[in-house]
Amino acid sequence: MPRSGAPTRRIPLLSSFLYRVSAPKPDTPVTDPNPDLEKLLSACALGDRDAFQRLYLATSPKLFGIAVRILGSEAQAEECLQDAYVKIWQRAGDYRPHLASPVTWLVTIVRNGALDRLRRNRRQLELADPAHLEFLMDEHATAPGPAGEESDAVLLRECLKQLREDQRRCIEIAYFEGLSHGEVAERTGNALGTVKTWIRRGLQELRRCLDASV
Amino acid sequence: MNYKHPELRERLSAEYALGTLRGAARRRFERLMARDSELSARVAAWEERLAHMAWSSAPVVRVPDRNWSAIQQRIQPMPNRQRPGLWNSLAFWRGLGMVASVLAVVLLILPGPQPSAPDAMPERVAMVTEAGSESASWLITAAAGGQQIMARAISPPAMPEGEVCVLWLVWPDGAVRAIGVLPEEGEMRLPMPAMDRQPYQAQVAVTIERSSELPMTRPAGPKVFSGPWMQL
Repeated sequence: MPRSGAPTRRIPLLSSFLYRVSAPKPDTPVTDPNPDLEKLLSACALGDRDAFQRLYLATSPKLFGIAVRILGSEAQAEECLQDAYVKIWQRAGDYRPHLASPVTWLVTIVRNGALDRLRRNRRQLELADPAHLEFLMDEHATAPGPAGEESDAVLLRECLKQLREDQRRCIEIAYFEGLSHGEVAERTGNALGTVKTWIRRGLQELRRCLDASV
Repeated sequence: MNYKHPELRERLSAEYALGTLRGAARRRFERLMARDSELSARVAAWEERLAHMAWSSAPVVRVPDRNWSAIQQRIQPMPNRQRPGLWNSLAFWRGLGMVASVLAVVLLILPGPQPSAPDAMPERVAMVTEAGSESASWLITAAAGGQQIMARAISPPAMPEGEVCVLWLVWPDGAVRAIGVLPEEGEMRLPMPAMDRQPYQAQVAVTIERSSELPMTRPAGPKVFSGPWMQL
């Protein structure tokens, strides 16, 4: 992100000050408050590296969070995120706005890559420490969303809160860990029939809440 | 199962997107979805809901700066490294220029090349059709004793992200050769691997494979088609 060739080059102090002000602060990596991801993706398809960087800045903290959530390891998630963004850059031209929103397209790429990696490693990889996952999940339940978050994300957060804890947990485990009903049951120590019911009711509830608020 | 029931369609769509629909039920659902646009729209809506759930429920995690540099390096079009040696040797380029000029003159004098032989006439054909489907997914033709294999997409099934249809030849004694990934649209020539076997004695088979596992020597995914060549 160095601003080479900036017009303020003659006043080095000022330019470095400006850079420091505009550079992302370590704790709040989302810089662009409300980027048009669809526009950024179509610019990427034309080879616009600046657009790609803006897309990266706007989406990588969240997508990294998803990769960490799936893989349970930051080191693994970093590799996964790199693969995902290389893919995003190469395949931005394949994105079709009428088929999926940009967020869904991006999340799908990261999730598929992370689940592939998880399945490949599952034999050698010690299963992620459940306590670590609990910690991550608790964190999201209370953490405020990033600045400039769209209202539908807030809505979704509200809908998720309305789900019963066990329903939400089973849905998230199935989604983030790529597990079947049986595996979720085993993982959570519940009966298979119970897990199936929780997931089915949870999904119904999620949909009812989201559809009612649109 | 009665797939027309709206509640069942909704439940299966949700579980397909979530990933808890597995095995034969998942494959059956995929085949249905390929020709039922209402069903694939339901699945797309669920993929939206779940991706947004992931987006808003996953924690925001600070990404180390080295990650961006690593990505940038990987998307460089061509590394612009100065390579010492032949590439930078003036003598080499002079020599090459000389040889090229001589070659150009020789080619000007020689009679032009024969127009390249048109594709040989197809000798065998196989229609790849999904079970229960009325229209063919691909038309496979073979020519030149099986050395030229062409695949034309007619109405191929929509494949989920990361999965592809792979064409195989399977001999009666169980020998298997991968021919290639079937195209999603248009026509494609599939490179025939060098082999000591008679392609026309084999059956044509198609399996669904994860593209991350290619190339592969034996099928791992579900077989969706198998049939003999038909002689033309």
